[in-house]
Amino acid sequence: MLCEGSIPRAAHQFGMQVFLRVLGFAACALLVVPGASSAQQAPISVAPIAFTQRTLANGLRVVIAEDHRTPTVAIDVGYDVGGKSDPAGRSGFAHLFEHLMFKGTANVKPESMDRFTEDVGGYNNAYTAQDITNYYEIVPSNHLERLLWAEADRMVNLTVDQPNFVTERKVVIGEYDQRILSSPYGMLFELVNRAYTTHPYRFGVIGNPDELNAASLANVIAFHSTFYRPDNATLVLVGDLDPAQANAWVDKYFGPLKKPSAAIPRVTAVEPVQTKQRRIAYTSKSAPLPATLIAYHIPAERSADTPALNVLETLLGSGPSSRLRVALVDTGIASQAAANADTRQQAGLFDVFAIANAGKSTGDLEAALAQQIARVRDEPVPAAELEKAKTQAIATLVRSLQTHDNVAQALVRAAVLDGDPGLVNRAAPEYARVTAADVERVARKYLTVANSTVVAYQTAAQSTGAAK
Amino acid sequence: MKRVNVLVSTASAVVVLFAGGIALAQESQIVPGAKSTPPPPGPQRPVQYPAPVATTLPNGLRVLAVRVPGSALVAADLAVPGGAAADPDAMPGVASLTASLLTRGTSKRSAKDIASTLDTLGATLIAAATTERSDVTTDAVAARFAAALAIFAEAVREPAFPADEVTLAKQRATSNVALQSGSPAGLAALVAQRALFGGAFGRPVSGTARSIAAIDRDAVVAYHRAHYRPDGAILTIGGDLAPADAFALAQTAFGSWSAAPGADATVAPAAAATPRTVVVDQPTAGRTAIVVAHTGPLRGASDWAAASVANAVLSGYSGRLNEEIRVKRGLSYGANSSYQTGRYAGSIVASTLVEHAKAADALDVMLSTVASLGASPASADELGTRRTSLLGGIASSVETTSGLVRAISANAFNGLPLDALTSSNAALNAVDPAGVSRFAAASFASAPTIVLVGDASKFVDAVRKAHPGVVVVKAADLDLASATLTR
Repeated sequence: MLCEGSIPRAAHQFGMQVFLRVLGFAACALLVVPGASSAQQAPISVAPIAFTQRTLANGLRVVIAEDHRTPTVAIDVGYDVGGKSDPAGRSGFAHLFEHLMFKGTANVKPESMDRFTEDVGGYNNAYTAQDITNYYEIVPSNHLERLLWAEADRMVNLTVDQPNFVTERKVVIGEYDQRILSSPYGMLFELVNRAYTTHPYRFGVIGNPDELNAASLANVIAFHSTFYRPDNATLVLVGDLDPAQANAWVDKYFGPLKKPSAAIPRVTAVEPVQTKQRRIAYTSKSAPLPATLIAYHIPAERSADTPALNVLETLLGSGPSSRLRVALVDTGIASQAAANADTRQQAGLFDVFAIANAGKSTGDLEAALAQQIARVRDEPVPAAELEKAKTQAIATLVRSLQTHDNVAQALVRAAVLDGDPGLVNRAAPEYARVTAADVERVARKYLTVANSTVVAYQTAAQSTGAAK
Repeated sequence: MKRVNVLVSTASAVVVLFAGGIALAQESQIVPGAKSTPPPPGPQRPVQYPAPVATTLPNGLRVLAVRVPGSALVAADLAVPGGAAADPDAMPGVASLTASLLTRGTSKRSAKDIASTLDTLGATLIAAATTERSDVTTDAVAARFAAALAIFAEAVREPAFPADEVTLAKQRATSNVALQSGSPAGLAALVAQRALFGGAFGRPVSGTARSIAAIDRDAVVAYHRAHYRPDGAILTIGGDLAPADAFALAQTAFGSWSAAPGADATVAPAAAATPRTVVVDQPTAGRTAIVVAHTGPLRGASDWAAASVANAVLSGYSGRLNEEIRVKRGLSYGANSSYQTGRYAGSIVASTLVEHAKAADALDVMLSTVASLGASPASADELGTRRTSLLGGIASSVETTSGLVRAISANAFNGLPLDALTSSNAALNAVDPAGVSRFAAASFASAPTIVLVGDASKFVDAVRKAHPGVVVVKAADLDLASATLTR
């Protein structure tokens, strides 16, 4: 598996990760006259994902959605642990641990998950993000029972020895090299973590080689017993399954697992309100063009402001007529520009960023980005533009979740980050309710200079003589 | 035990032999400290691919319609032959630039109007060239699709190529080339393509900074006139709509489209260059990218299935390359092989990314792993598992409506029958270990094209020992527009 060090954040953090189906479509609707005025478009109606939810006596939350359109099933096990839970002085540990979950158990050899998935025409992977570590498999649906057995097995029977541990640590450091050092803009998205001064989000997910090398096998064993337990996990099954049969298998394999008596440690640090702009300068050896990122603190994903922030993200950064595209890319200042409402389990970040065109500086990018932020803060959003952004956001929901894999990912993420998988079905109606006043209000509240962190990502050539 | 189920792996088949109903239920329960065995898979569920229905409009446009019951989205793909292989020889990048400009202004709408109309519909519209063809794709929720298709057709048929948009597109293309060339893996892929096929099929699709600078509006207009035409093009529409309705939409959008007189859309077939070993010295690279490349069969060739399975044995997490490079030796985060093929050219490209100082060692392992496939045949088990992995990958690539439309379009473009998704599955299932060995012995015995991109000072001496003919090029001196790699 090519395990991810952190989730490359989707455009919307909870919004787009939702599976919704369009209802009410009839073939004759396809023959509408092209070019009809946008203002007269009927709203896109979306059908919610039908799922059941229950909690076993040992605390395991189980979410099941039946869908027979393709003969596969997605199995996700999301643990409420991530980069922010790394032990002190061991940043990157949760992600390193994720790799070790593939190293075998008392019952199966290392890399058996690949045998159970790849070898039968499926796939499997895992990712570690700040707030979740999610393990998932997509297999032909006749293999569901085997994968339930295998996930239950590694929840309680993991075996890791010193050689395995050392080998996998090398792989993880290699991943750091590949993602962060070898990728021209890899460090840009690490530096954004410095927007935090107090909260452990400041350490990022991937960590660094020094702290990874300091980790021991004893750390591994302690981490597994602390966080890998049924009452810290959500099991999501989506696809070609019979719910009664699936539930019976879940009871059989997960039901007997014991709930440990020790409390699960939780992050309680609260990032203080930022009162002054923070600036970070970095010189990349490998980036061919300068880049600038501006990050603003925003509330946790559960906040009532999240739908408006997601619509704002779309308005700024999604599609060819988005504001950043028009103002930065179409004018030739930037080669790429985007916005990201990076909502998290705890207070997150709203990012705007751009990569320059040749001849443009980090300062040019910052000025152009700041101007677009000022516009959303200081001027009302025209009604047609708001409707456009809302339609795009909803269409993207529909588009992004056509697969069992993505539906399961959305459900598990909402369950672990927000405590409620049902959030996936509220995104579209919430988008539909966002008003211009909401967008203006959240822009004024969060996208302020004092609340911002600016990352000026210079190239070696640009900063010659000024590099630190 | 009956092997009726192609998706049953060998590992699971062994377990099935011991499956004993109640007894197994006990043994397979999870109890910490007690042994447990995985339960067997259930009976296989059938995999059924939809087949498109085809028609041809009087202007020569081939239209394929595929029904996807329950799909909220309707997707379309228009494929026109040509691609970068049809670029003027000194000007790689024209096909790519032409495609990117289709959505940047038409006879009726400005770039801004197109963008805001599409976003208002919540539709996508993307045009891009590959080596062999240019594709324009759209998707939209069903109720917005007809309106999206109207913009799509306008972009294909009546692009205006405004001068200021050409200037901006060149600027963006230049930046994108710099971004791709900045990553060792991205640059290695481009150099390998160039080194593997000396001629038209070796060109970098996006062009080079120099060649993009030389492209003017006339070149773009001429490319569009020659290659965007109904005869030879294929329009594929997929969604929850009847084929007759899809054909009616196609007729409305493209029925009156006609080819420009005197236009010439001839594409010459690919020819392989003499294999060589190239080191691109890029001291700023964080790691060294290694590529080992061979030419591969065309999509319609009789040995396509054997080549696909052979590539599958090499690739994927449990494939031979990753096993040797990552799992056994920890030389890299991963190693893979990719078989890309089409109507005119095919290649099998193995690649990895390693620390500079380990480049020579990793190259040796890659070469011996690829070469070993002919001499040490895949066992029936290894082949079976890698094949089911390949079949599963194909299945998941067509899970979305737009993915299904792209696959059907590619099959039609490559000259395959309408039921190709299903018949290809059968062909892949028919490949046996001897077939893979025969293919590998014949194809991988010849010298490969080898490319390394990284800090050459740390590995070039070691590489030269085994490959005395190695050519070293400084990244700054590289010219991908030239078959010789330098100006």
